[in-house]
Amino acid sequence: MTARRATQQRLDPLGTLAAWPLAPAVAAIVLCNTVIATVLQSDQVISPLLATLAVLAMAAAAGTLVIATQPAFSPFGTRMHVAMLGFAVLGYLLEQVSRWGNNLLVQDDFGPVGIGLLLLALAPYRPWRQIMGSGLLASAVAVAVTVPQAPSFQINVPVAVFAIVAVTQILAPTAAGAAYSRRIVKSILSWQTDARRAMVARTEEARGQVARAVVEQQVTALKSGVIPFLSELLERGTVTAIDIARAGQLAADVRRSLVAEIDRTWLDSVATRERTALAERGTPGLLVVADPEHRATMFLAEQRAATAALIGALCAAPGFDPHSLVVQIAGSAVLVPGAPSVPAGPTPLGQLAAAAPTQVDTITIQAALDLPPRRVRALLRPYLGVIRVVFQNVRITVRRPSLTIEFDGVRDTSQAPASLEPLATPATPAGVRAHKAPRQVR
Amino acid sequence: MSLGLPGHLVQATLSRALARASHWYGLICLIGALVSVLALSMFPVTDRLQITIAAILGMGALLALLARWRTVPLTLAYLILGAACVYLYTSSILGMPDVFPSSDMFLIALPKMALIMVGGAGSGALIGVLWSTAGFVLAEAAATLAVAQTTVPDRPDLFTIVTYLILVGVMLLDGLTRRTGRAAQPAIHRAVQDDQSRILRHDFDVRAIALMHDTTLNQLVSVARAKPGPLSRGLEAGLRETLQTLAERDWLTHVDERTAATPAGSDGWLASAVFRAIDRSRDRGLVVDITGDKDALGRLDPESDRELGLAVQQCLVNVLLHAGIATAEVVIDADDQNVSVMVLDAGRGFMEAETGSDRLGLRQSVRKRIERLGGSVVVWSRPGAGTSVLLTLPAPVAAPASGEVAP
Repeated sequence: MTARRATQQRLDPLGTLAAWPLAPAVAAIVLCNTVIATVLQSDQVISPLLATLAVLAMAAAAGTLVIATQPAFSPFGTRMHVAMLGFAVLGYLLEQVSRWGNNLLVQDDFGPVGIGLLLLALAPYRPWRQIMGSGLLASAVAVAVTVPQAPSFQINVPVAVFAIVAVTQILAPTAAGAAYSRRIVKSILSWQTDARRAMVARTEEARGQVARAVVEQQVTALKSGVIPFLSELLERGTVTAIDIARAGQLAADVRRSLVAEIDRTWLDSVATRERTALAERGTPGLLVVADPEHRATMFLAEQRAATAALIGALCAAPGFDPHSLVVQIAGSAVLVPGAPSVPAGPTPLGQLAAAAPTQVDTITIQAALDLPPRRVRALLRPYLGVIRVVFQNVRITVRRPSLTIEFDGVRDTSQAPASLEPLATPATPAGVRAHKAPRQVR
Repeated sequence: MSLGLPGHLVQATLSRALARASHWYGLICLIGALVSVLALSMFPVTDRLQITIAAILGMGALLALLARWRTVPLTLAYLILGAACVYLYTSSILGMPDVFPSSDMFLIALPKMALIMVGGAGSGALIGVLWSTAGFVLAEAAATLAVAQTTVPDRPDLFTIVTYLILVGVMLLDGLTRRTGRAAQPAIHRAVQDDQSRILRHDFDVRAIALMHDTTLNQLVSVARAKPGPLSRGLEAGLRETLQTLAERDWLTHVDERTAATPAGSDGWLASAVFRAIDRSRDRGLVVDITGDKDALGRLDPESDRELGLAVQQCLVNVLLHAGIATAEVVIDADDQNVSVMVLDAGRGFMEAETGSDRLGLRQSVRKRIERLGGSVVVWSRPGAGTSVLLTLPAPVAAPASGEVAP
């Protein structure tokens, strides 16, 4: 994401989650102020119908804020932002029209205060430019409707002062919200840069060790069969029919283990790790990963991390049935252009370029969690908060004890790395791989 | 992106962001107050307007300083000057005869709200609340004093009170309710770190597997295809090389290319790994014709060069093992952006879809290698019509200066 469109909600979902009670509180204040102002100044109202509609529009704006900030609706989108602003400005306009020519004071109108507070509440959810822009737009509206009413106002001061009152009521909270949004995004981004650097450094330190471990693993696998066989062959200097058969068999073995290793995705590694953790806790379990098309390989780093964290949280949850976890990844068919035909001779590259369809991966995580649904939701809320930011369409079904979490990963295949080629074997629980292997190149 | 703030930074970061928000709120209020005073001074001028303007400007300047350096002295200075400003402002605005009916005007609340929004030094919800409370008390005291000297009736200023309550509420909420995500945030950080390690490990695995394939598996296949009897010269050489490689473990450095050898010498072609791969295949009895722009291979960086060499070697091994023919052609081509190598043979050919499910060579040793470096692999083959494999790697033409530096 670009820094321009970054919000606290996208960068720090958990922090935003903690601050979410602010939104209903602000909505309640706005609503109370609207109703109280309308009742107390009922003598100024000329059109009760319009005044009622104004209250309703303001209530709709407050309601939009509450709904859009709900954790289940995250992230707070532009559409909701525009809807909220639209309702609030509409409420303001209706209020002004309902008492046009009979309005005694600007400062007790609920419109500007309401708009300002609602925009302030957007601080953790929207980019600062959009908050500020909305505030400036509403201020322009405020000037436009305040100045013509100057003759009816009770106080005898220059008309600019009325405009200042209305505009300040909108702009002060808006500027505060925008400043908060900008500052917190900046802080988080700069911390993330540091954190990434530290993480890369730490990984870099482990580099030699990891490489050694990988080599060790491969050589150990060969030591029992292949290496003695080859050295004996070299020593003897002749090949027998038995050697030939044995070589064929060893080759098949090695190849099989290599294929299995290549087809392992990060998701299999996560499952393996959780399985080990469960076994260490004395409750060995069975975690099933079903990703026949190896879609997991296409996940982005943050999607991988969020999914791994969610799976880890589920496995560590109280009441988790260690034999119940199933992670599935399915998706819509890829609209890859037909396989390249065989040309008569060498042809220039680029003939493979074709339309890049959008690809949707649906991840389904099922588990049995013997907890009251409310506790399940509370337990998973932070993890799902992160999942919601990096995936789309998060659906949760809790029917004690079964729990189903589904979410979609949408990606643009034109930007995807060129590794869409199907892998040899379908992914099943590691080590229990099926023998269905439809397609392979030599 | 999902890398939220860790627990120990939350307090300081939030406190800073809230202070910044307060300062902007205060600044807008002061601007509003200033413009109001200016607008009113065009009306019948009161004597105190100039000094009021000066006080507002001073308060704004201190606020700007405070936004930059949140220190205790600046905070105290702001509170004191602010209280004075509130007094001057209130008395000069309300001192205007017969303009304002009472003291509970939004206009009057402007500098008071700015004073509440002190966003003072220190981090932590409680300290913020304390500074704001000090601002609130000072503002109300100064305003009450000023109102008492005018004829305007004193009424409670709801704007200031509500602003104060909302600010305190926000600070307390942000300071106290952070706890919910406390357990989850470290878990997510760990997941990100684990993911990094996993990716590194996977990367090494892929490379190790490709190398395994090149050495061990190819050798086993060669043995499996040999005729009973004494070892042929090629087979013996191959066996020796493989065992040596496995024993020396120097493919550790191949797996982790950071420790790899220095780049090629002056002659790009003779030093290139592609040349060595072809040379090795010739040792094994393959006749290889080379055409095209050989020197272009010198443009490849050491890693690309080595990987392309290994990929070409695998293609040639495939010709030896599968094509049923002992001649192959290698065509090297280059444009400004890419270097490509095509390996052609007129042998048996194959259908990609019909090859064995457990075959790795083309997929792992060729395709994955090249694609990992951002290149592409295209295979044209049909039973009876031979095989062509086109390997393309990005290798932009270097600027003339680089690479030509004298030693």
